Amino acid sequence: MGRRSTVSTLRFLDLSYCIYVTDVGVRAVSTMDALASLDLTSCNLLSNEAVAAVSGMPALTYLNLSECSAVTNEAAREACATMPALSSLILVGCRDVTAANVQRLRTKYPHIRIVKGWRPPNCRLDDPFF
Amino acid sequence: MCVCVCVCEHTLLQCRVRAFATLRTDEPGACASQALEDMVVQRFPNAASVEVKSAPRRGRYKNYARANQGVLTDKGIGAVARKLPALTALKLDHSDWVTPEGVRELSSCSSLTTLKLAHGYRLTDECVRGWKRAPALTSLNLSFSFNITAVGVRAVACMPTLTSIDLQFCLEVTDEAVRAVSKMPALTALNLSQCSITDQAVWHVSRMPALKALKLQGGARIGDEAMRAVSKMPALTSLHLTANICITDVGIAAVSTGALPIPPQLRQLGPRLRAGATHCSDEGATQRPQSSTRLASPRFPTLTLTAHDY
Repeated sequence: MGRRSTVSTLRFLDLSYCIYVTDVGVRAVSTMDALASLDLTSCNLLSNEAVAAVSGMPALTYLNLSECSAVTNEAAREACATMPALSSLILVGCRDVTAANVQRLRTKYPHIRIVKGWRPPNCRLDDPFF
Repeated sequence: MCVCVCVCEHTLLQCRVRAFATLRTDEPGACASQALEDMVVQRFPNAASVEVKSAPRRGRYKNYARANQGVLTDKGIGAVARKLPALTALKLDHSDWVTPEGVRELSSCSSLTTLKLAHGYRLTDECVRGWKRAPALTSLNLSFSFNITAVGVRAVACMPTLTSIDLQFCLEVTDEAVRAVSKMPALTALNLSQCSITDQAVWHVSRMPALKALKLQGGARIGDEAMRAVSKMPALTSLHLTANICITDVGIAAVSTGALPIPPQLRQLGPRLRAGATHCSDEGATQRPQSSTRLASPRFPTLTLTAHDY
């Protein structure tokens, strides 16, 4: 029996301000099926493609895309529609995600907490270790 | 009941310490120490957990901090250590004025399991050595203690009961110090953010079988090679890599696959040359993709032979 690798155990991954991570890197992250929390704050090279890549992750409950300036309304819609476990979506500083669209998503997906304002989000998934 | 007391005490103590910060005295930190004696030692003699957030040197309390008000000194720690025998957790933020003498007072708290001495600018390796007599200590936070070096970390590594160590911004902590920590089999959480470590330190850490949580934020010299080491950690559930500008898609892929992917340009080279070419370097850091439009091009543009023209 092979040795268990990190990919099968990792639940919390914080890549915020890792500014050289692109959609390709996020596609690799999407293979981590146990991941529950993914922070991609200020990864400015990410596009809607990155959101599409993580949209199939079965256990992801917290996704932070703050200050990812290339993420648009379409990506926000896809994230809400395709992530079965998602409970928090943080879009602070995403210029191309409109307030009207966020309002529509909040109505359609009331179980997902969508944060778009400029206040720092206070819905981070609790990491039991830190 | 016990939990309730701790919560109340926590809240009240913070309020009182901040309130005292507005008073004026000639003795630095006397206010906070007196607050400790008043609020904890006398009113909550059975307190199990004490958390003090002294006035930091910035924000709305910066004026008080400048006047040396509202800070905790050895006197307060001494009061806690002597009069609260059941103490299990002591958490001090901005313990700027705590000296090795104050820490020595804590050796009488034999039931202490959690100790936080953040921003202990006056703490030295010598006072860390004294904690060998803390038989129950499981969690130790020395973040922002700039004077803790490899010597002190080696002393910490001799404490077999520790399960959590926070060494954030301990600028003197190097790969060698981490090597000592990596020999602690029971450690489950380790924070090495902003330490002076390289990929080599992460390789040391990857040999820790029980480690579940690892923080490597702001590591200017941690790159994709370190991520390959991370992929070998079988128990890891939490990984924080905030502001690691040397980590690229290659490193992220390595976490999920366990190996650094070899781009086509390197496949024809021998393993020795390949190893040299896949190390993260400053040259590599200057060759990042400029925009997401380059994604259609070869998958890992940072791994080219430009800087390794054999």
